[in-house]
Amino acid sequence: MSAARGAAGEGPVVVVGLGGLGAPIAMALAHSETPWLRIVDGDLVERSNLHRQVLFGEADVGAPKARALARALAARGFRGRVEVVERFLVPEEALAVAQGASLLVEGVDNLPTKFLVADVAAKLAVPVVHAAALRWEGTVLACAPGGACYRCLFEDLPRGVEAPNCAGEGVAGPLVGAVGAWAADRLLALRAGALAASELTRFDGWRGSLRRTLLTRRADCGLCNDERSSFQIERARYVGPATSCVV
Amino acid sequence: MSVTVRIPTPLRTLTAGHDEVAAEGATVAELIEDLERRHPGLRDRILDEKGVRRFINLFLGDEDIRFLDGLGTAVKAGDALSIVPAIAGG
Repeated sequence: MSAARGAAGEGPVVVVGLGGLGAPIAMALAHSETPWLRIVDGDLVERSNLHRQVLFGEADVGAPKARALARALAARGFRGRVEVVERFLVPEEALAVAQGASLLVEGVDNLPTKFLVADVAAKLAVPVVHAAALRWEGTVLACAPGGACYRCLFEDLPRGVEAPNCAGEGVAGPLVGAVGAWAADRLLALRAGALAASELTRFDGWRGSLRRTLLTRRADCGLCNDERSSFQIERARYVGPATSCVV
Repeated sequence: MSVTVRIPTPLRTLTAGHDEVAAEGATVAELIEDLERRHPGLRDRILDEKGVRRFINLFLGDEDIRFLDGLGTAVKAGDALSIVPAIAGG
């Protein structure tokens, strides 16, 4: 066992969203002495996913992603504990699903769930990594304990505005592998206590560029300040466009 | 002075697909006005009546403009302004 493992506690690493990002994240963690994974997704494997969700194959089409991923990890020799949650993360049970987590990571395809994971991480005081990819562009936000959070960067879901539909944008297959691997790398750094500040990594997979930026807590971020203990994780807080982007 | 502006994927429909465009101005606010002249519709995707939309970040180099002088942040030739919106997908 690595000395790093204990730095963020002994609970499970909770992976939310098991598509093109979540699957490589889980695989990298499984091969990095992670003894306990809790994998969360209510979606089913579709044939159109296979080009970028490379842990799944034709035989998995129609199966719950969480179950298919657990099988894939076992087939690759992972002998740690895997808890399978075949449901989408929803406000009503998000705290229970994440309870006991040592780390949280998400690679989900909608913004309300990203904010939900950020809030759960704050409530439980658990380090969290947020990963996203759209076409050839990816971002990884690693939130160090006491550092800037997702709401420091992206304050809230838009309300009352018409959000463009980005559903047709798609995601480049190779990009999610790279972004997912980097998200896992940042998780391991968090687990080791090696991140003194939160950081945002931006990938441009087309140009092959990567930029890392250290982030500062936003002074008026409610999540980082007194709101943390007072807000409720309830559905009304996450009403927003279930699209890939909002600009 | 000319500054490179990095355009995120969701906004490239307004820049004919270009991921980088040039803009002129002495401050971030002036850059955005120039962007609007060159690429109509871009300003409203970045700003609302209160300033920069809350789910968008503007980085001048590696610095979040909120921690500089906001839209009044001075720019110099050769700088790069990155528009970083919240995105989801995988």
